[in-house]
Amino acid sequence: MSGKHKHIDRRTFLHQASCAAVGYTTLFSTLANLEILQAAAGFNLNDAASNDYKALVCLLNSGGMDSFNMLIPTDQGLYRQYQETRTNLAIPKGELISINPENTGGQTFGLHPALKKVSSLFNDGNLAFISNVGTLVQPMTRQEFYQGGVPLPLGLYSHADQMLHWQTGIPQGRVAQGWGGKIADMLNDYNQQKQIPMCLSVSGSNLFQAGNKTSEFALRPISGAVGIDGFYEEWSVNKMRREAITGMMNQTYQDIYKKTYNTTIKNAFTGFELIQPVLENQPAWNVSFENAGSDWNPSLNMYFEMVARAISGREKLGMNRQIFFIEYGGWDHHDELLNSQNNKLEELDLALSQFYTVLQQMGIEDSVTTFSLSEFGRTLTSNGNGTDHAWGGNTFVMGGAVKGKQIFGTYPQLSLGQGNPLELGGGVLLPTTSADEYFAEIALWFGVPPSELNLLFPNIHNFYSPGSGSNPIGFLQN
Amino acid sequence: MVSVCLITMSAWSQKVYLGGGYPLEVKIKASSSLTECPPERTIDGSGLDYKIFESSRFMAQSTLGANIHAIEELSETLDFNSWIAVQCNIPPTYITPEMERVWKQILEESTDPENEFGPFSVHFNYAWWTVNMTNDDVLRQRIAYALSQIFVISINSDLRDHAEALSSFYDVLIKNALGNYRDLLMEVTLHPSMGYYLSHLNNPKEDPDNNIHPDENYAREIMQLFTIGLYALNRDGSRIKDNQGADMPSYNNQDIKQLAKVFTGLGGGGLDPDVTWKTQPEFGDGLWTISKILPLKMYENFHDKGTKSFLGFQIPANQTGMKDIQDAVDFLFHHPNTGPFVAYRLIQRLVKSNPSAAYIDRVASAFNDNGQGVRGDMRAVVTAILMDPEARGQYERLEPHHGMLREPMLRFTQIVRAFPVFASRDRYWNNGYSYLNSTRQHVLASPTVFNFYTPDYQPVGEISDAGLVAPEFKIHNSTTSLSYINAVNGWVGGVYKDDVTNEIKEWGSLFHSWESTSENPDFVRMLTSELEPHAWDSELIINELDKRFTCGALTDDTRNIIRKALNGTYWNWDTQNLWKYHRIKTAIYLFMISPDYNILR
Repeated sequence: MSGKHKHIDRRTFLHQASCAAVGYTTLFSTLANLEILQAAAGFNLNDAASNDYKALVCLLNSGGMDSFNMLIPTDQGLYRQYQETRTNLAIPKGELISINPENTGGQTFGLHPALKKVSSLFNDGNLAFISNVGTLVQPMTRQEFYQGGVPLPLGLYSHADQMLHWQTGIPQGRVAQGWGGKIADMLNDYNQQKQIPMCLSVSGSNLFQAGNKTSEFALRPISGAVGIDGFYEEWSVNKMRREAITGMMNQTYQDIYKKTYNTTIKNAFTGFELIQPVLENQPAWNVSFENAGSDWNPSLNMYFEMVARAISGREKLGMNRQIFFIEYGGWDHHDELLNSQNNKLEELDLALSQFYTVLQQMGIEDSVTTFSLSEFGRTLTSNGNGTDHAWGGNTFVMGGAVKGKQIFGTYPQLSLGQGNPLELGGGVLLPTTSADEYFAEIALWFGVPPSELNLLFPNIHNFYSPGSGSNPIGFLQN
Repeated sequence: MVSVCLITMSAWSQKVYLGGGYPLEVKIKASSSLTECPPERTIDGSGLDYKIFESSRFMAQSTLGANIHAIEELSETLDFNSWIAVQCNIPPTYITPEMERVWKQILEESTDPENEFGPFSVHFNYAWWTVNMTNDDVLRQRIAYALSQIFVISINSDLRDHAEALSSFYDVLIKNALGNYRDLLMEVTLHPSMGYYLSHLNNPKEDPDNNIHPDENYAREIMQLFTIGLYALNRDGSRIKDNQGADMPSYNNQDIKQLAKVFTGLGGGGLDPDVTWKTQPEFGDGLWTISKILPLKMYENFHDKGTKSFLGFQIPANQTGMKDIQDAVDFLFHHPNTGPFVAYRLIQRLVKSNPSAAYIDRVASAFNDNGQGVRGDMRAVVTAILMDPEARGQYERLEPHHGMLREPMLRFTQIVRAFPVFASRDRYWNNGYSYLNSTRQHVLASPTVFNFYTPDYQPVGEISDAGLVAPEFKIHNSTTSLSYINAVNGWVGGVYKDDVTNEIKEWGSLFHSWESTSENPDFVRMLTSELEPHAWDSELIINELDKRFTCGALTDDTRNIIRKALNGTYWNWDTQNLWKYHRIKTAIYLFMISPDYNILR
């Protein structure tokens, strides 16, 4: 629950650009051609080794995580910049957990004190950070930002719009399909069993997993898939209803709407009957997942636990590819940043660590990559006791395939004003790594051919050349 | 001598009903030439249930839900025109006063420290459900609800924290639902909630030195979503094609940039009542500071004074900001696209997903001119939609692609109005969030400004193959389809005998209130007393529910399935006759989940 704000809205005085050169209709025709081009591209998914299992876990930290209090530079001069800029929100150096990145040329960093287990994951080489990532249509300098004329993502600093862009990969428009769903459309043949979609959500309907052909199948933490309440009970009232429901499901309908209505229900229930026994028979974990929340609002680790169950059932479910989605909200810390973020980072820390432990138990950690999204980073400057909407922020990826113990991208200076070429005013940082590059690397690892990347991310060529043979950022092994 | 009668009827597999205000007659011919038997007789359906079915169907299109008494009353005359006229004269029921009553009660009952910052969207929800459980202006509220899916604001924004922002905006829709579309456009444009949601609140004029350009959000959306849409349209809703046969976009980026200049300079029209550190709002004051109820005010210093040229129209320089806005709104209101644009969307909310071009044309004509030279008359538009042969006709009803999937909210509102209820605390407070979670729909809870579904959504499969649209299927997926069934289960509930006290207890509630406690539960339960006299006869139960829910369209196949289930719900040893309640609840449950109900024809 937000508190009161006495300041003038930041976005009032910031540049808003119009929809860029790629018009709305062009985007739609691009998407419509997805299927045609897929056929034309000539890559044959049947060639893909059926033993080649991979899973993506998308963790959307919604609200705009203040990620410059997650990953903090600790070299003397840089820490001082951090402290001067963040004033009463700066975390005392002595409280930070030091980490030893291999690729920063000796530059040292610290993590928020709540991230103890994450720091171990990092130091063990199983987790990496990517700095100053943000939505961009094309690269730009601060000068270009002020002069205008360079296309910007729509609705910068707006939750609604930026949430769209991080999930759709198309920041210059507002489209209704996400890149996770489109990947599922593209790689659909990896899964022999098509009853359960590749996209599994533990947080309900979402844009990330909305493809052109399929959308997500929803699971709930603790209870699993949605079935029909009371369906299996043996009391006569339930039996009568069960027969009637079955009768209705098996009816042939002439009416085109009734048929569609019924088919969805039938498929949903068949899917439930297929997946629920698998979810209920997951291995005994060597970690105890305790729900620190309530029944209707479980703690984050329970979401990851359900993901682990679905992963453990991958063979029974005939799935070589799985894309999971978890939304972890509440990061919009206009107020009370220090206290609130501490609690959330503790919860996140435990969840990630417990999840990684059971992946190792299953021997599958190299095949599962967890990555974070958040609609924006937050202003470096304090508004009193919180921060406001900004742009560039830090993300993390976790998995055996991740080149861990490294900080990718370019960690920015955290000073304000003219001296910092990335600072746009008010503590907002211009991103130096585009969300496109971040997404593209994940997509490539998952099995999207480089030639198809532009179907997912129309702006990718502004940042990365798919034909180059190297990865966009380098945080995942090939 | 026996007369042999030949009966000619339609071969449709559902019950055909006669009359219904349309001259579908059944002629009985005698093969004999006996003179005492007239050679031909026409059955006009008197004595059958067709009138009830037609009344029920009309109510399903024109209200959020009706009980059997309202249906029966209207069925006596089937004079829908008079009903509409009476409805237009009933004073509107507004949400804000009810919300204030709710909030006052909350403050008296609760000591939650968070209350300092309320009321919140949940309190708007409590008020909305209260109004729509008890109101008489049922047509107006149905139209207002439909309009909330065109003029979209949503709790998926900071508006969630301000019940008065939600209720006062919704009240604008209620006020103008049977008024004029132009007034709707103006009042929506100037409402702080819309100003916040589409960011024309505190939108300053251009300042090239500091690289400030007007926000284009509202300029784009007022065209795309409220008036002219993306493509040039004929009056019948079909797209106008150019010489190469391609669609013609109705505006381009230049038009947006120019129109954006019009919507500059609007700021708070007053202060939030909790603000004590200033006495006047200033341009730039955000949502927390400004009044969420008073219309936005023009701050001339921040308004672009230059000319604005868009779509071949020019607004001269140096007018007041409000005059600029009036001119722009007038222009868009009068644009030839606006009639078919509005017609199509409202037909889809009320009657069917795939109206014919002729139907759209008739409704758009009513928008263009109500018969007395007035454009944008909502009453004329609504009448045209509901009274059109495509909405009322029995032949038209049988056309294969007629109808639509009922949206989840309308399934919910219908059941809460269908039967008398018991309210444990004498109030109708529903937070709606579990239903939102189950079905992805609740009032003012759209994910984005594009509503829960777009008018042109095509579910993949037979519907898209046939070139048809069916927007409501956008939110009908593996989770929502089953979660809806489980929601029905929760509404219908059941009865059981308490093992300890031997009392008969009921469970189930239509509503969920956060104020409910185990000592003082806050629930609303359906009463099935109306159906209890019929409990012994499954067929009668089914007929009664056919009247209320399926409007006579229950198919024989589904009827057979339900009858079997009801007949099987009986125990002759049950001295308390609890089976009656189970049978009735099972009947309601099966009706509410059946395709026959969920597809409205």
